[in-house]
Amino acid sequence: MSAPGYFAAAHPFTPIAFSAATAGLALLLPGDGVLLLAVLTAIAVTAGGAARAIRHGVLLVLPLAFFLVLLHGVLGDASTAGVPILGTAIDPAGLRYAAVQGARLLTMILATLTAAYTTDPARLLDAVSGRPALWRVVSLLLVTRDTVRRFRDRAGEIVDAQRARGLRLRGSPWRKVRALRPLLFPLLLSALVDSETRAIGLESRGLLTMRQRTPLAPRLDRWHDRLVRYAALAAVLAALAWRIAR
Amino acid sequence: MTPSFYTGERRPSSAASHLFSLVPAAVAVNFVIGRLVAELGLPVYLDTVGTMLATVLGGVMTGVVAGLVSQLLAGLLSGYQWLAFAPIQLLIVLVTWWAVRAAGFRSGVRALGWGLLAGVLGGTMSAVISATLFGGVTATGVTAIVAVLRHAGVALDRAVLIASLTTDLLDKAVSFLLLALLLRALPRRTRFRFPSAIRAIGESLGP
Repeated sequence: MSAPGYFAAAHPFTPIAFSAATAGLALLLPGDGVLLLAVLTAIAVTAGGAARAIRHGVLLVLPLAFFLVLLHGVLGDASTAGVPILGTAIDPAGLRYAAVQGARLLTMILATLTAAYTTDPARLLDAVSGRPALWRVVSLLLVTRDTVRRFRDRAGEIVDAQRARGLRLRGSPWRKVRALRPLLFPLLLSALVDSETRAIGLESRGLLTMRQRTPLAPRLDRWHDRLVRYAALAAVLAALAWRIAR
Repeated sequence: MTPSFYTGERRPSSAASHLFSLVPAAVAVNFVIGRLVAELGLPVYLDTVGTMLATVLGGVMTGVVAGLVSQLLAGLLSGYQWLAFAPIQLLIVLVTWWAVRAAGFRSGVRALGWGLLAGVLGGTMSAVISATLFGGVTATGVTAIVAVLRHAGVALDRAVLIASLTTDLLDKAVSFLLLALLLRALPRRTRFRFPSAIRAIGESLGP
């Protein structure tokens, strides 16, 4: 088994800070800066041990990039400055805009996926255990994520059960609309029952108490983790100051 | 916050308990219904039904938290850029709460009317965000309509507005109608746990 990359081994706040700062820079930097930032982010993500985020990120950005090129490069102001390519007038300024916007989206997606792939929920909960308010926010997000997974499975079971009772999911749009009720109502009703059960469970286990919790495996916040976080913050502040001064 | 009778420790109010119990279910409903509808191949999203349900049952704050958590989780799965659309979730919560106070789920026709209002407001806001921040490129279906309109010679801003309004009007009308049907179909015992749900369908708590 290979060793975890830097982000996965770092204090849980570090990949989150890196991710938030990168997304902030993608919003603040101008055109050429964004293109460079996209390249640097890809390098940092690979070096940090989250290379699979790049493949996933490229897959997510492809449809958006296609429409950016179509809307701004092909269907842009080609009538005034069009360059004929393969029988279509291409707008160079529109293409450039599409490239910058595509790089901006790719950078933000890479930043997000890096945090999502390298942040271990249990370690993150441990890291915020000394801050009751933050602990509640993080645990709400984690409980929600688990509930989404559970409901996804339940939705599959409901679809199978209704199909077994003769429900048809193919055919005319009207038939599909009519299929909504037998599919969605059991799901919505079970969501309400689930919320009631959870409320009892949470209260009886003291999940909502404002007492400070004891972490099971306290995480060391090493100097280089702190350095990465401060550098990320400084980069965003510098970009913000430059943007305001410009 | 209220002090515990036995330990003196500060305990969370029932509002916090409400948030922790309703919000995960509402967000899960947003995600799962969105996926089910996509599998059916219907031209709607229905990805705010959970947020609306949380608003009707738990009030504005529960709805706002459900909407924000929904948007945050969607962002974590596919990119922070979608967080820019969080204001639309807040807008839907406000319109839904307004509908609750006006017994807007009393009949299908009323729910449809409130849905159309939510569609107009949400579609307009979505178009502004999409055109300003993303150059008109967002969800594939909406952007395909924008591309067709652009090909027909419609200006980009106008094309984005028309596409967003078309999809949002249909989506929110169906969402509100579905919610009205659900609230009426709720077992009485469940319905009576949520006074605002009773108000939403125009009934009273009395015998």
